[in-house]
Amino acid sequence: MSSDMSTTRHPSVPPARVLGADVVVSGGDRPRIRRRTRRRLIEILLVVAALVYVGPFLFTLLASFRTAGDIAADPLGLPRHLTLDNYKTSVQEIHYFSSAWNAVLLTVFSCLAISVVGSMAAYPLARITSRLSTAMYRMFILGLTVPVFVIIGPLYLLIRDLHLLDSRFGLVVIYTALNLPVSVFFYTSFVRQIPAELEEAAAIDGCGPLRTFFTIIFPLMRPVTGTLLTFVSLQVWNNLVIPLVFLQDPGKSTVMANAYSFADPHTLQPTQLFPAALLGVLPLFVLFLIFQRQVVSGMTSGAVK
Amino acid sequence: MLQRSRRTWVLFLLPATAIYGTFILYPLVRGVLLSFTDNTGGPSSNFVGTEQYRKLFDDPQVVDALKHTVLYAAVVLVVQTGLGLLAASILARRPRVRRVVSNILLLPALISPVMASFIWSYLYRPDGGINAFLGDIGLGRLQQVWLGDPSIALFAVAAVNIWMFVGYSCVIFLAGYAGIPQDALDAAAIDGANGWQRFRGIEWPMLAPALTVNVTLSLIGTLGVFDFPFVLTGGGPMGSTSTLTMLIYRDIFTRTDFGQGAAAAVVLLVLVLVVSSAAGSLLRRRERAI
Amino acid sequence: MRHLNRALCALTSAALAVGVLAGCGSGSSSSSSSGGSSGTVTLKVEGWKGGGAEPANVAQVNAAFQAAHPNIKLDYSFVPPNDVYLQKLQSQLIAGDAADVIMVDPQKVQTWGKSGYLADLTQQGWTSGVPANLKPFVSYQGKVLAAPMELSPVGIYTNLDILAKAGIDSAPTDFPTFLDDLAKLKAKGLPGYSLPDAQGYMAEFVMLLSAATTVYGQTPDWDQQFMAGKVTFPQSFQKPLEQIQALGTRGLVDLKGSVGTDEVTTGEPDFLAGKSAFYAGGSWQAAAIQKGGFKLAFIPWPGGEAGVAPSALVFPGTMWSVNAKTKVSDAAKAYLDFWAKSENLAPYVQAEAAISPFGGAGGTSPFLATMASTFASGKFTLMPINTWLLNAPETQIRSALQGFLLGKSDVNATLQAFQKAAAPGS
Repeated sequence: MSSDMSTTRHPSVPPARVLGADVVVSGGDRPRIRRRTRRRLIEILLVVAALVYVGPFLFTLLASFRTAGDIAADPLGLPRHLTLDNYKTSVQEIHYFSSAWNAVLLTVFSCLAISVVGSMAAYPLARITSRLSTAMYRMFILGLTVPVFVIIGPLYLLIRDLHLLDSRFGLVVIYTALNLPVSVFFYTSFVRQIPAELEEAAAIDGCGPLRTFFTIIFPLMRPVTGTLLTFVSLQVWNNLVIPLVFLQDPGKSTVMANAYSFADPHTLQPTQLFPAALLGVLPLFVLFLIFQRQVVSGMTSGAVK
Repeated sequence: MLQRSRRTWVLFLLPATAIYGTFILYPLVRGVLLSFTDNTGGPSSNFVGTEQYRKLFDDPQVVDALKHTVLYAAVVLVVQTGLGLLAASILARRPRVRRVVSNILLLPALISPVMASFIWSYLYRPDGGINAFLGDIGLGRLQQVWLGDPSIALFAVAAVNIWMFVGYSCVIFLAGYAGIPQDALDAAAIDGANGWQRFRGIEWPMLAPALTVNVTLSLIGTLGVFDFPFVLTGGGPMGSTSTLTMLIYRDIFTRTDFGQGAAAAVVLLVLVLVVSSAAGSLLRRRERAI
Repeated sequence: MRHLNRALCALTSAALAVGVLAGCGSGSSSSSSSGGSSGTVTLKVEGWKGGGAEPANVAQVNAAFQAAHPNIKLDYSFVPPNDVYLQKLQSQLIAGDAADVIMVDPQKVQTWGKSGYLADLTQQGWTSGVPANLKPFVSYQGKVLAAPMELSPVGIYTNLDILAKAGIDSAPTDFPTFLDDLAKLKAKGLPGYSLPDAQGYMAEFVMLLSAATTVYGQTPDWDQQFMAGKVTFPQSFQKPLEQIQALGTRGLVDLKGSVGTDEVTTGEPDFLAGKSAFYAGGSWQAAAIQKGGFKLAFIPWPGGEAGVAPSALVFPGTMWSVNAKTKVSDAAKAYLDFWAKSENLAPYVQAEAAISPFGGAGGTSPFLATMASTFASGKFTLMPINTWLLNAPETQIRSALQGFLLGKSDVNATLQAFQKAAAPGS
């Protein structure tokens, strides 16, 4: 992939020195040291401010290691003793490993389909200016905010008739369809920025349209793909209604759906819900950390502008 | 290349159109058609023309919900994007902590809206964490019954939404910053531009694509917002946080008034179409202007 | 890149296949649970109890049913309650492939009965055992559509240990005593009563709890009279609102704060943690609340004048209905028959700390004794969820009550709002 990048960079954009590349401090004179300490101080302050900002998240994290009685006695205080029992119970109750694996499968395949299918459609929609393409674009935009419960009845009927109930493939198709509008929207605005000369050069070299798209255009869209998939993977991962409505076999259920199923409807028990939810997002968090390098490298090396 | 071949054109559009048309448009049209009937579930329904729409706009609750939805979207859009931009512009100049701070800020976006709402309803209670924190830092007079005061509940709900996604907005702006060539900033520095002038003259216009992404994502999230008010307030107090989606949900599931729910859904779709088209063309003009 | 290409090919063709299928698949009909060759049939059942946080001994009753009916293969699915159950079941009912037997409650009997999703059970033998006052809750337009499973008292959980610290040795039984007790608790700096109402349902609960004594105590058929237009809210419902108001004006409950406090995250957890001495809830929460480990009483809202014993409020809880489209109607009816016998129902009723609608013993825990004896003496009212509460968009009643708690409308204006929202023909 990265070798593609270097050959396809738009010739008019010189390799940019990116804002904020580390400044090398060479001298040792006083003002500079003072400036450096001030800088350090500000940086530390920034980290502290960020931690305060996500305080409610940290509170959740902390609460998940506490006992019910401990939380009830002093919800905001520091824990007196930490326990892993909440997690042990959660892992068993929500069938953690299998349900997390199900969610990973669904998320990965949905993301793949959403980015490939969406970017393909966006390509002609961005390039061709005709009344038809504008109309088609509008049609996709219409779906940006369809509340899923408006279509869930007719959709269920359809999925049943296609014999896709209780099937992972069916779920991937639904997620793909639901997220295509945002995918088309993103890619369309991005393709508009890619100079058309690139494709013309490729066409002269004898590349077919599909090959041109997948060897030249698609790799260029890595930054927007990164942004899109961060958004879409969250949507798919955290969705409760789709798996709960369209799956029957509990063995296929996702980790968030299981976490929700086990929540008591009359009361919120932090010791039960918090660990389940945190365990639920853990794999996604790991995926993000891995994925983020990709996204950032894509953003910086392929910066098309 | 594309102009030359209609077949290629079709090939590229076919998968998306087939999936989207089958699984979204078709069920959507079936749902929307109900808005011209008096269907209340089951097979029986009579054509009633635009009666449902008339009923809809006669209902003060619907008009209120429409107002709440637009206000909510506007507040989240401005504050979330503003804070995200502020954080990004600070972090862009501080590479050493950029990565770690943006990762910390991204944490809330990972938990689901339902979870975030549960956490915050815990913190918002009158004797909860927020008021305790305000008391501790000497701002006791700012203490509120956050979710119980009809004049501030909508903003309290919006704040949870903003809290969740500011980090996300910041990361998108940071990606935009990464695309700004240092030469441009250097040139401005030589011209003697100060921080604000550099931001206004160079960074802000060059962040146009990142702004487009942020605005779009927050419009999608807010016009169709459901989970936050559903869990935090159930639309109260006194209906002050009921949004269009909450009404649609209530019509379809607790009242099984499919006709009315479908009509409200059509209003939402039109709202989204109008707002996102307007925002889209506005933002694109900005992008082109650079 | 080559890998990606191949993946794309596969995906595209899959997408096309789906698109084509969709075009021609709309006419196909589905066969739900069908009879097997060896004479056994599969019976599908869906309910929101029997899994997750509420196992409720459903598995035990089902096992007994299975043993008694070896020719029926029972396939029970737990569906999470509330919004998920509604969305899943409603989709399935529209598509005509919901389970053969589905769990419902009084509201669903009305809405789904109106849509024609539920089979008519009027001819079933067990219907004669359903108490007359419960009949309207399992019926729509005169047809019985559901078999009741429980009568769940709603009342006030009382932490007797906290009361003891203020020198009070038993739970209050009339309103003056209730106010006195709360004042004593407050004077000693002990926790009292909290009324979390962010979602809007707790104040509605409390109003009905009070009405059980103050309105229905005098006029047991108030709902019927109201639906016939003979009585109005402004005529009869002052007392419940005045009692709520009294809690506020005497400084015993912060009513404005109540509106900002969430029922789900606060009510039960606070009570369990000993942060409130009283908590309004349903008998279905008894099992969880007993885990608090303190001395407990579950009593009717002490709403009467000095010396007047209170009446209980009872929620007709879960019920079984038969899907109108079932193909195994006989098996479905056999399932309902089984559950409609008190001895079979007992494990469920006990787990829910409820009372069997077909007679027989209810929950056996000693702390339920007060409630059980009140019920046995006939001093109880069924929640009006199938009459005016169903009639009124519940959001309007709840909004009006929140306005009342916030002091934005007085007793009379609030009652006028109820009347406007709930009156028949409104």
